[in-house]
Formats: sequence, structure tokens, C-alpha cells
Amino acid sequence: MTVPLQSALDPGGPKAAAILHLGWFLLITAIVAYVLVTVALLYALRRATHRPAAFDDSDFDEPNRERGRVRWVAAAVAATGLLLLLFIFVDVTTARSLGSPAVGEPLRIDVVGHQWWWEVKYPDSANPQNIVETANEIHVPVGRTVSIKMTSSDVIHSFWAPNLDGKKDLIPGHETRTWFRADSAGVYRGQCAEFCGHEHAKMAFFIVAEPPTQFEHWLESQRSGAATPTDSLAQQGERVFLSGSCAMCHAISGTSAGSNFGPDLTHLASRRTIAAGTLPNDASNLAGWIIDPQIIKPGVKMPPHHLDPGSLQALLAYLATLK
Amino acid sequence: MKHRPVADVSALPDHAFGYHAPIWWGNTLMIFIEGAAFAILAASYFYIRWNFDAWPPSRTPLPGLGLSSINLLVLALSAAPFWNAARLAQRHERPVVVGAWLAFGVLFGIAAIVLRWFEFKALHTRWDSNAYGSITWTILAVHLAHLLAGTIETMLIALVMFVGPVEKKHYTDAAVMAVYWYFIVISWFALYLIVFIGPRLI
Amino acid sequence: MAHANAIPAFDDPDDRPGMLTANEEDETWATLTRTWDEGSGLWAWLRSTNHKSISRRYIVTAIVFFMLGGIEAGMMRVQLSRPENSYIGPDLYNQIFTMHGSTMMFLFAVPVMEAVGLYFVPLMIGTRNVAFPRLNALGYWMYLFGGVLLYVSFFYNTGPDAGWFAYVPLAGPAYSPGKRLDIWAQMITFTEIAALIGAVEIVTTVFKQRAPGMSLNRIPLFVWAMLVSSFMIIFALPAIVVSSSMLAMDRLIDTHFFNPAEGGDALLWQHLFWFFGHPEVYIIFIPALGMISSIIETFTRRRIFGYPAMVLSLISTAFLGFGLWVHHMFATPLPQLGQSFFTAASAAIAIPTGVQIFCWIATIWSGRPRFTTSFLFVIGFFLLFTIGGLSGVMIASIPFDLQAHDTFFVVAHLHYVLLGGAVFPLFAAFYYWFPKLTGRMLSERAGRWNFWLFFIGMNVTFFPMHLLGLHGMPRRIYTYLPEMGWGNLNMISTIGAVIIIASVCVFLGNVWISLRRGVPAGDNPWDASTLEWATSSPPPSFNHLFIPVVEGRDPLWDARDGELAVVTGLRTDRHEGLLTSVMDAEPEHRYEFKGPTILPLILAVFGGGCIVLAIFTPWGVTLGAIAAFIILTCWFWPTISPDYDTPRTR
Repeated sequence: MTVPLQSALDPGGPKAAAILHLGWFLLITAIVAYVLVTVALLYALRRATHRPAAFDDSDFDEPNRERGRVRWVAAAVAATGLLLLLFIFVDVTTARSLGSPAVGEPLRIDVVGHQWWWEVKYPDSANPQNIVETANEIHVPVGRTVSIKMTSSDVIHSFWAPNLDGKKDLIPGHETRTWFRADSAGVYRGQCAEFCGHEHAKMAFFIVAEPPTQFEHWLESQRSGAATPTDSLAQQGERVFLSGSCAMCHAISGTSAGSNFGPDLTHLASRRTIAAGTLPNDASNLAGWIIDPQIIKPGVKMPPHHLDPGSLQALLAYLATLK
Repeated sequence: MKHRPVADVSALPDHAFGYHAPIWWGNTLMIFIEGAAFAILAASYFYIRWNFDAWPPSRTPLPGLGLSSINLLVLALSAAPFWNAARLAQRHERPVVVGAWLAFGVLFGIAAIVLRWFEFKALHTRWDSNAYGSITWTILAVHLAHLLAGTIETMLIALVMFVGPVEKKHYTDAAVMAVYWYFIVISWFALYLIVFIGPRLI
Repeated sequence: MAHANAIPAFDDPDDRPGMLTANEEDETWATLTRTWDEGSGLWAWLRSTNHKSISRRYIVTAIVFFMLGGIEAGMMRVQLSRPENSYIGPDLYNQIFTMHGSTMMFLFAVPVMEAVGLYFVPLMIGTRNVAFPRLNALGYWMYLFGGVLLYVSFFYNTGPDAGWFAYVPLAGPAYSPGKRLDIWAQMITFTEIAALIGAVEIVTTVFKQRAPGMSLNRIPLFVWAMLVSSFMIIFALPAIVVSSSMLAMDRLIDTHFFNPAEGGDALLWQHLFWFFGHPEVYIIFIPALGMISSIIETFTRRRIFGYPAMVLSLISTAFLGFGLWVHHMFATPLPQLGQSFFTAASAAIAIPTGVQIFCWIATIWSGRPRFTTSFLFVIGFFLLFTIGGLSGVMIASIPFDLQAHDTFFVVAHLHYVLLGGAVFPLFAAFYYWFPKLTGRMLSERAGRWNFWLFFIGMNVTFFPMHLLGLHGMPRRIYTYLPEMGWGNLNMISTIGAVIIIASVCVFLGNVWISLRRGVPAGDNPWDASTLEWATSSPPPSFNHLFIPVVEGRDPLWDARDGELAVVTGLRTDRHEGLLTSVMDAEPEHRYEFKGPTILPLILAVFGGGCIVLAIFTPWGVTLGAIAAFIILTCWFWPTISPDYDTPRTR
């Protein structure tokens, strides 16, 4: 899959598209205004420089000229006012179209911001045990409205996937809501857009928009608990995980590890990246991350784990089974 | 540049009262600044209120009205000696007389400060209990700071009036002191209504 | 109490004493010099209460902070020039961008504008000092100590690191342990006191000390700008006084203003901070508008077109400026309808700004421009600020802002308006007023290099950032991945920063050399119209030999026969000035300015020490109050001046 971009200029959904249209209108209007003002200024400079050197001050107070200038200035102010009214009209129209999602039952997702990762939950109101918990990667069906309810567990973060929509803050003590819809399949990158501490720069997420059947398949597989490892290396790795400090922060459903301090790892192997979008999810990156996350993301809340190579290989084998 | 004299100002007086005096402006601008600060505190009070289901928060009793209402009365009455001191100052009355009225005002100030201690208690909460405690204590504390500053300043001006040497411009200072005191009284009316009466209404 | 009868007005020409003889003028000059002399050496320097000395210190200190802020910017640009750069790690980077914002906003922009005002307003209105000279000195020391506090802590790796805006809960006790944010909060205490002091000085001085005949509709537009900006300071700063105190209390004594678990609210911080923060940028911008007016008038030799409209624009900008703050909070869960009001207000403020721009263009159109370096910077202002203003209208739109907010688009916008709208006018003012301040002209040739390097550098640095923001680059990130595609534009931006640094070096070199070898300026090298040019360059300590009397807005152009009307009769053996009425500037009474004293420094040292103590314990506040009480008693204790009326005692 091609590297996803993160750009407001490449809309993948209706909200980003509407905003981009608004942006073009604003830009063109701004350029027109700028050109008019600059031309007036440069013309004034050029014209005035060629005044006769013996320049009579009484020229200024000539009433007719003064009146003429007053009219021009008044006209310019009036034009500015009209342009601003037009701006407000276009702005309000766009804002209205962004406020209400299209018809249809939205997919509901809860997002909780953490320093420096995204907790993502897919609740099932019909069947609460069906809740899917994952981190940093949000799968959505193409063409369906997604309604997100957000809050933060610590400081203020901001959820921003520019190809799909503008941003919305995650504020502790408050619940914020937004919606978006992806109209073309693809992987859209987003990033935290409110300074949230040390590793604000490395708090990305991915929205994977896929055809509805693929999405349902993904959701179903996320609902299941972790597969019990069958080969001995992976089993050893599971023991390393559960008996070491990993289980103190990470949950793997189907095992005794149930802490939600850090991201849920039940389906870690199905994710494209680790450390909130910082590195691709492969064995060597995972190894480096486990051994010392502080090298990759200094200040992150996960401590180093200096495992011996055997235990590390086993752990990696186990984690690879968590699809 | 050549200079052409058009007027001679040597006979002008060397002091003035009211908005003719720079110190009046300094004081008034100070009042604007502190008034803005009180307004911000009041706005914060109402903002915080809507973060709670009940106000005061459940299990916190309503703030006591007894001593706080007495203090309101004390402050209201305290305006009188200041008003009189200012009036006498503008008439260039003998410094001792002006000083005496200011000292009388100081007594009210001291009474208000003592009663303020009990007002804190009447809040039935602590500054670190919750946001209600934090904002109400802060409002009372900031106003107390004004009370203290005002009382001590008045004491000093009264002292100057008694001990001397007194110039005519010190009368201006006495009159301006009264204006500051009115601010202290009026701001307290508003803050009392917010902190002590408010929870009974909103 | 008008005292028109008390002043012999010399209406009858036969009554007039006639022109003063050269001897009389020399004698007056000599006596005034003696009276107003503050002495020399370090002790005298520490005790100074002369507004010009204090302003010069302010300006030099502010320029030093500007350079420190620039170095911080340079470091950020180096770090961001390449993806995954390892020049600076996250902890230092977060401190640096916090220091950059805090330095530029609190330690450079507001102080330098106030300082230029505190220097030139008394000269322009024809008085000898500001209303409260000792208070003015206190303001400078508080400002200096606040800046020193911030930088000492930074050099000890305890600099604040939550942004210049210190959002909670990140800046609160739970997520910013240690003393970094307490230091930030108390730095605010120092600088807010200094700013408020400057504002009180300017308002009081402008209202009470104008030259006779200088009614409010005759004061220079720069004086109007300083007056309006000072009122904004008076009403806006209390918001950050309160909010920074709340933050300090949450951190130090466990209050819960911003703790959602106990009914506090992270959004309360944002409202309070931006209620201050938005007016803050107008506090910086409005004095610059005043400078532009002065400079355009002089270098087009034309009275500014539309004076009443210009004044009303300044005032309406100030009022509107208080109604915009929520546009910094569009991404928060505030009600949509309420937010839309702030879109309208943010758009509306473009109108008074537009009025100013159009009136200036009309002035230039009907004048005869002289392309001095100062005027070039003014043209630069037009070209750059307009870009910033227009990108500002763009982000006034909520939908567009939700994409642009907290990205480099906003970084571009704010630098176009602050560099274009405040720093360019400031440089224009430096080139304009340097001759008056120092008695020497700056080199025009070096000035052109300064201008062009700055203009080009600024655009190269900041224009690409519009695009970077829309391409998804958020603010306040210490690094980014190579695949984001941001590397090239960032590298270009960093090159621009190098060009800006070169420009500043040219400026500093120009200043250094011109101080030593610049062409002597004379009183009025530009043939300007306002009163600061009626006295020598640099002005004597007492400003004007005699208090001038004015009959119009451009006293020196009105006085074309080379004669300035003045009043006589002020004492020259005392620091005496003339006070006039607020509206019409009719002489009212005489006033004695306080002379040099060490007390402001002492109060700043002890009071400041207690403010620093308050970083560690709330008892610092109590101790500070006691120290202030003791020192202020000495400050205000009467010292009798013989010959003044004393009433009967006892």
C-alpha cells in the first residue's frame, strides 16, 4: 500500500472536500483583495514620486480633491464590508453543511486520548461484550458515516485526519463529538494537533477506510480474544509476557493480562504501525521498542526491558500470533 | 527654534483635587485594573458553577449570612468617615482633623478585616476542597488584600497628617484614598452578593 | 478648576514680553540642566527616574530578548530543517518553543512598544517626564528581573515547556511536575506588573500633561495609539493576572480551578488566557499603527488623511479586539452558535484596519514620498501585514480553521502579522527615531541591506509554512517522519531564517557603527512636524526648554516662521512641569516630578525576591506584601519642599 499522506488538500471525504472548496474561495478572495491593495499602494507611490519638486502644501487642503479622496476611501471601506459579508455568508453555508451528517445509521466509535497514544473502542449497544478495543488504528467502512465520541484521560489532545475532516479537541472532563465519512478506500494518516507534552510529535494514528465487507470481517476478527499460541516458542513468549512487567500495563483478552494503562495488544499483529504511528510494525522495530522505548520516543511511559535474546525472540514470536 | 512666550504660568497653584490631579488618575486606573480582575473572578465563579449539579456542591452547606451581613454593614458605614475626611481635605481643614477622620475609617477597616476571618469560616469549605472552595476563597482573599492595603495606606496617610510635615498635595492624597475606599466597599457589595447570596439563587 | 484668569495671556501685543533674549534662554538651559542632572556613574544609573533613560534601558533590554528569541527560533529551524533530525531532543525543543513564544510576546513585543511610547509620548506632548517617574523605574526593574528569572531557569534546564500559552492540564501539577511552570507563572507576575505600570504612566501623562492648546483632537496619532493600547493593557492584563495566579495556586496550594475531577475546567484556563491573549496582540499591533502614521506623515510631507477616521479606527480596533478570543478555541466543544459570533467579530475587525490602510494610501497618494530606509520598512509593513491579515480572515472561518488550527498555517499567519505588522513598523521607527535618540543618523546604505534581507528572509521563512500547515504539519512538533514530504519546505524555511539572522546582524552593525561615526543629526533631520523634533538630538534631560503651546496637529509645520509659541513661568530650580485639562489642554496647575531615588530598585529587588519565593511557597506572597509595605512607606513618606504652601500643622 502506498504511503499515506496527511493533507487537507487531498480530500477523501465530504467534509474535507467542502472545506477545501471553502479554502479556494477564501484564497481567491484574499488574493484579489491583496492585489487591489498592493496595486493601489504601489501606484500611489509611483504617482506621488513624480510630483513636481516645488510642491505646494496648500494642495492638500483643496476641498474638491479632499472630497474625492474621502469618496475613494469610503468606497474601499464599503467594498471591504461587502466582501466580509460575502465571506460570512459562504462561511455559514459551509459550516451548516458540515454540521449534520448524511442519513443512515452511523458507526459509533469512542476515542480516548492518552499521552501519547489513541485508545479506540467500537462499542456494541446491542451486545456490550462485543466491544472492540484497539489502539492507534481506526478501521471504517467506506461510504458510511462514522460518529466519534472523544475524551482524554490526561491532557488535551486533538484528533486530526486532514484528508477527512478538520480537527476536534479531546479535553479531560469533557466529551466532544464529531463525525466524518470516507468516500474512497485508503489509509489516511492523522496526528495529534494539540501540544500534549514530550512526545506530542509522535502521536499519530491511521484511519483505514475499506469496503464494508472487509470492514465487517476486520471487526469480527477484532472481537475475538487472542488465539492461544500453539508452538512452543510462542508459548514461552506468552509466559514471558504474563510473568514479566508487560501485563502490568497491557491487556490481551483471553489471558490474565487486563490492565488498560497502555494500549490493548490483543490484536497487535494486525496493526500496521507501533508506538502510535512512529514505526512500521515488524519484528525488528518491535524488538527495539521493547528493549528500550526511550530511544525511539524519549519520555514515553513505557520503561526499557532488557530481556535476554532468547526471551525476546519468544516474546516476539508470541506477539506475532496476536492477529 | 525661536521661542515666543505667550503666557506665564508661575501663578498657577501647585496642587489640585479630583480628576485634575495625576494621582487621582493613577488611583482610578488602578481601580479599573482591580475591577477588571474582580470581574474576571466573578465570571469564573459563574463558569465553575455550571460544572456542578448542586451549588454549593452537595454536602457543602450554604455560606453563612450572619457575620458576613454584619461585615457588609460595617463596610457600608465605613464609607462615611472617608467621605467626611475627603470633604474636609478639599476644604484644607487642619491636618489633625483630616487625620482623625481617616483614623476613624481605619477602625472600620480593622473591624472588617477581623470579620473577614469569620467570613472565610462561614464558607464551610476549604480552598482545596473543590473548585467551589477554590473560587470562593480566592474572591474573599483578593478582596481581603484590598482591605488590608487600603487600611494600611489610610493609616499611613493619617500618620502623615498627625506627624507632618504636611503639604497641600497630601490633602489630595487623603481625598484619593477615599475614592479607593469607595471601590473597596462597592466591590464588596457585588462580591458579597455573588458569594453569599448567589448560592441561594442559582 | 480652570485658571484662565491666573495666567496673563498676553493677548494684547503690547503686553507681551517679546522674544526671549539669547542670554535668557542660555541661563534657563543652564539652570534646567543643573536641576535635572542625575549625576553619572553606576549609582546614578541605578537611581534614575528620567523617562528617557528608563526607556533606553527598556529598548536595549528588549532588543537583547529579541535576539535570544531569535536564537531560539534559529535552533528550532535547524532541528526542523530535516526529517528525524537529532540536533535537539523533545525536552529541550519543548522548552525552546515555549521560551521563544514567551520571550517574544512577554519580554520583547509589549515592552518595546511601551518603551518607545514612554520615550516619545512625553516629548510629543511637550512635557518633561512621565507622571510617576519612580513608578516608571520600578516597571523597568520588574521587567528585567522577570526576564532574568525566566532565562536563569532555562539555563538550569528548568525552563517552562508547556508552550507560551501553558494549557492545562498539561501545565498543571499532575502533568508538569517540578518548578518549570511555577517559574512561568511568576515570570508573568513580573512582566504583567511592568506592563500595567507602563500603561498607567501613559494614560495619566497623556491626559494631564499635554502642552497648552493640544486638545485631544490635536494629539499625534502615535500618542492616540499609545493611549488606546494602554487602555487595552489595563483591561486585558488582569485576565492573565488572575489565570496565572489560579495556575500557581493549583500547583502550589492544591486549589482545583482546572481540575475536572473537582469541578474545575480545562476550558476555563483557555477562556481566561485568550481573553488576555487576543487583546495582547492588538496591544502590540496598535502602537505600530501609530508609528506608521508618524512616519508616513513625515516621509510624504503630508498631514495624515482622515485623522478622525484614524482615531475612531484605533478605538474600534481596541474594543473589537476584546470580542475575538474564542477564535483560538474553535476546536473545543463550545456551542456552534456562540462560536459563529466570534467569526463575525474576527471578520469585522478587518474593517477599522482597512480604514487605516486606505487612509494611509490616500495620504501617500497626495503626498510626495521619500524612500528612506524607514519608509521602505513601512512599505514592507503594507506588503507583509496584509498577507497576515488576509490569512487571519481565512482562519476566522470555523470550518477552514478546523483544518488550519494548530498547524504551521497559523505559524505563518501569526508571523506575517507580528513581523509584518509590528516588527517592520518597529524597524521603521528605529530608523526614524534613532537620530532623535542618539543624535546620529543610521547609515541608509546599510539600512537598505537590512530591509531587503529582512523582507526576503521573512517571506522565504514563513510563506512555505502556509503550505506546510495545509499539508498536515502540526505545530510544536520536534520532528517528523521523512515520508510526510515536509522536508523540502522546511529546509527552505530554515534558509530564510538564516537570511533574517543576517539582516539582524546588519542592523546591529549599523547601530554600532552609527553610534560612533554616524552623521550628526541635528534637531529635525527629517523636517517632521511633531514636537519631539523641536528639541535637540538627543533631547536634554528636561526635554523642552520651555513648554510649547500648540494650535494644530502639526506644530512644527504650523510654526513655519521658525518660531514656537511657549509658556514661561515654570520653576527651573525644581523638577517642575505643567498640568493641563484633560479635554482641551488648558493650563491648570504646576506639578513636581519626583527626582532620582534608589527605592524603585530596592522594591523591585525585595518584592521580586518574594515573587521568586512564591515559586516555592505561598508564604512568598505574605513576605512580599510586608516588604512592599515597608518600602512603599519610605517611598511615599513626605519630604518637605520649602517654599511650597504648608498649612498650619497641629
